[in-house]
Amino acid sequence: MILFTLLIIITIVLLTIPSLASIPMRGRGANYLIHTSASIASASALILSLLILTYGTSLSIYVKVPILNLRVLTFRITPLSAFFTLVISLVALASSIYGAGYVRRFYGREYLGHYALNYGLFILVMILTVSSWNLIAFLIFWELMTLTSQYLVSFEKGKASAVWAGFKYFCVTKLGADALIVSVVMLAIATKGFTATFTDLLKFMNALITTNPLVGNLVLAMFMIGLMIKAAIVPFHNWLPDAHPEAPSNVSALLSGCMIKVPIYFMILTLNPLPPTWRFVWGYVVATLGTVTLVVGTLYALEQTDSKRLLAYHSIGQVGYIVMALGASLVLPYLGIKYVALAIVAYVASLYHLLNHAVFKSLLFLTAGSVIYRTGSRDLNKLGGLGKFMPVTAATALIASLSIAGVPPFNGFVSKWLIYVSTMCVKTPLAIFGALALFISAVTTTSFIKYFTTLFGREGRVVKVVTEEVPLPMCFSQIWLATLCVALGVLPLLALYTILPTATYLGMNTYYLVISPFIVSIRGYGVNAIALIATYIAVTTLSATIALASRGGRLTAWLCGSKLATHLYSIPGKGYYRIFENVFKEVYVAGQALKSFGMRYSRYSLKVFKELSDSLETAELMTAIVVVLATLAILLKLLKWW
Amino acid sequence: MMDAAPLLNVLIKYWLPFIAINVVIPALLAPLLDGIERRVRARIQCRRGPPILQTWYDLVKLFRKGAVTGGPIIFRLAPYIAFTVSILTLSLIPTLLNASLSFLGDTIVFMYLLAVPSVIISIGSIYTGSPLASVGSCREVSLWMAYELVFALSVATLAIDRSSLLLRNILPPYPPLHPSTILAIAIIAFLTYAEGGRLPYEIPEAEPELAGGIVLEYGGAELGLVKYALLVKRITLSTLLIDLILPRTWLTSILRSKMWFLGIGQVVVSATYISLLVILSITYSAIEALYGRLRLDQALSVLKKSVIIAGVAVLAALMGY
Repeated sequence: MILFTLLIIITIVLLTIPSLASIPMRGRGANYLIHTSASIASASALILSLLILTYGTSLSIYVKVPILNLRVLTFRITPLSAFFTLVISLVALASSIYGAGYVRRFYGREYLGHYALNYGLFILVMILTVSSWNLIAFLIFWELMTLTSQYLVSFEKGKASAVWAGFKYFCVTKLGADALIVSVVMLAIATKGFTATFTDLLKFMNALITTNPLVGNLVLAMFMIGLMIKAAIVPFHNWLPDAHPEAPSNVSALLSGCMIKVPIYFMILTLNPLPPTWRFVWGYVVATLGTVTLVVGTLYALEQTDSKRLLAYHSIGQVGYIVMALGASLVLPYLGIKYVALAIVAYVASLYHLLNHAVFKSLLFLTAGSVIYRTGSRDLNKLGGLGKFMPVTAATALIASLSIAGVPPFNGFVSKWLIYVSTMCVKTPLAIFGALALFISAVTTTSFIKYFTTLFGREGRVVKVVTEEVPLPMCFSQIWLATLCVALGVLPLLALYTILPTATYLGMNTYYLVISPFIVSIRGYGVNAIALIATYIAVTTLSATIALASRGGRLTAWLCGSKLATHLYSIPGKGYYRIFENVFKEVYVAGQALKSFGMRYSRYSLKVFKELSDSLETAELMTAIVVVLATLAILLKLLKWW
Repeated sequence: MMDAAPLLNVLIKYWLPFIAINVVIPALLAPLLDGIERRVRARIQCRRGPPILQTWYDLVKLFRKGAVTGGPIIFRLAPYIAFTVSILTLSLIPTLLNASLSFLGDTIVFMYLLAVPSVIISIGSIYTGSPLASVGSCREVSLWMAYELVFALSVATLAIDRSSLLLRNILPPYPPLHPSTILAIAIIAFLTYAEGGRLPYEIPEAEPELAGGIVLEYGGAELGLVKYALLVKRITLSTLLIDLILPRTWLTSILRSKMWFLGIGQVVVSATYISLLVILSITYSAIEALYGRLRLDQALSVLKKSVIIAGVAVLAALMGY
């Protein structure tokens, strides 16, 4: 108990006091102070969450108002929130160590004191959001999360695009927050008020949705819209590809690796205790939106030529995978006793993919950051040939690319494999979702062939920059995350050790899942021999490498005898899959149509703010929906249907 | 429920004979089949054609040569990974024997492993910076994306129909054969032709246009391995199609009940398998001889249409047809 308290105190103190202390510092001091303390704090949060997952207990903390004896802020670290804390602190640790090297490029250009303040608070607030156990704590920290991250997005104040992205991010997530607030206020009116704990609230929601499905679902829908905007589920995703690339790369890693996972925590928390029928319905809603998200997000990623924007679109796509598996885990138990085993697999797959995505996506953002650090560019049409100068970055980027693509020995494969196994053989639309996910996995692979080869392979199209490997702390973070990519793929036990306590906490039966160090299998479904295959590939490749070491000379690429330099011939990033995009253009045409509809609608509805309207297409659509739903709710209240 | 330890025991006990019969023999057969195909193509085009063993001679010649072109490590490693993985893919489906390396969700692993060679060679080829190799690789992976969509939908059709993702449940044809299943098998038959890189779809290599395209930068033993990997991939795809239409267990059980000699069923199955392979090769090469190469966008449009058919198949399977 003392250890727990100590760890909590270390985390909170080390993330608040250095943040505040570094406000007056301009450069070096702020950098080292905040990144050292954030690393230690996230390490202690990591240990804390591992301890809680090991013991499978929950920890409650209250902040009281002394006079009224009211529990104003309630926090509760359950195994589920410990898992999310683990994900956050894993990424925060890597990005803090990396940041110590990376933010040097801002010395003398930007004011690092403000960065330090927001960076420390952002990590703390994310951890507090997933630990909050009543509505007021949830709302406060949810909003603080938006506020701090919004500052970090538009950190480079000199860049118009950064400021604009931050503004767009603010507007869209503000509307998400509005939807949340409407729902929370409706709940607060009906229950004891803002200080009711989630335990009471979930019971109340459960009762409400059975006695009065209309109102219950309305409240839930508002809540879900709020969460989905933050998680960038497809109709509400358009802020993400602008916001994530503009932040400093280590912050992009936090945004894509952790922040968009926080709403998924609340999705699991709210959707799981619903009565079976509504669980089934909401499961389908979530799974369908997840599938749309993964298809649209990834197909849009295919045509990107800006390294970080490509990664941001892939974040949307991968969140689609997570949400799709989550939806499947809600739908499957309803279909019959036979599918209970598959439901737990889908749930595990969802959280496994969440953990994996946090690891490989933050690694990818870090490698993109390393390229920016050395060359100052994100343009896949112009960059190239960095592999010889930055071998560590190139190797880790390759591992991360293969992981996100789901190539067998790496971690992405295990979670994706679990997703397909749990969905594809079920005689429901889930099978089509699974098949589409399998196709999108191929699209992800090709997209990352482009990402990796344009940055590190061939020759750049611009005049060659003299480059070298990034500094040690940056290399260290990349290697640490790459090791995790391999470890989580070869030893699924590591991930399942952290996931299974959350399943037990949610009351799922983990009997069906059989786990030994290298193998995951489902009771009654047979054994999975992935690790054997991985070993086989590793051994043969290794022997081939040894055989290979002695032979061969180096020649440059064949250019039909031309004397011109190789880089003049290299294909720009935009040329890679242009023909595929042209043939399968329906997706992009539909997206464009939706966008222009949104623009027209926003122009029409907001003539007063004409100068803003271009940036707000989805935002205005959302306002309208929120206002309509809120009015509807109030009307229902007046009509005493409640 | 099988645990990890018994699985390992089984593997050690049956590993060597299984690999020898089920993987090595088909892998050795693959260049021979290519020899037959070349002969058939030549005859249809009124040429004399090389001897049947010509592909073997070519490969041996390549393996004897040292590598002339060097390159970055990923480029050098790619052929080895590609070849290893293509052999591994072959061990996942039953070939001569009725047995295969079967485990939970092996269908997914099969599909992934089938893709690994082309992915890894594409990465290696683009990495070298050669423009022709890059264009070939981009074509390869563009085509692969479209194949994967069609393939995923037809596998989902079969998986829904048999409520399983085990290859040993999905592959063998057993009644009732629903229309959706037949449609899915037809689509897979088309895919096994196209994905083997045969002529209308031989777009990534495109000998007259890209001078070898994706394999342009490779030479010597590495080129030999890449070529061999493609041949093994072709035989894997043909085997997949044969497994979908050859009722192995039924054949074995019929024979076992009639004959006093138990092994005869297996021999008949193996013989049928090899003769089907030869028939398939002759058919494929006959088709190949009649076509010229498609442009990439034309090929993708054809695949887009087959996506619609595969979609119909999967919807039909969902409705129980």
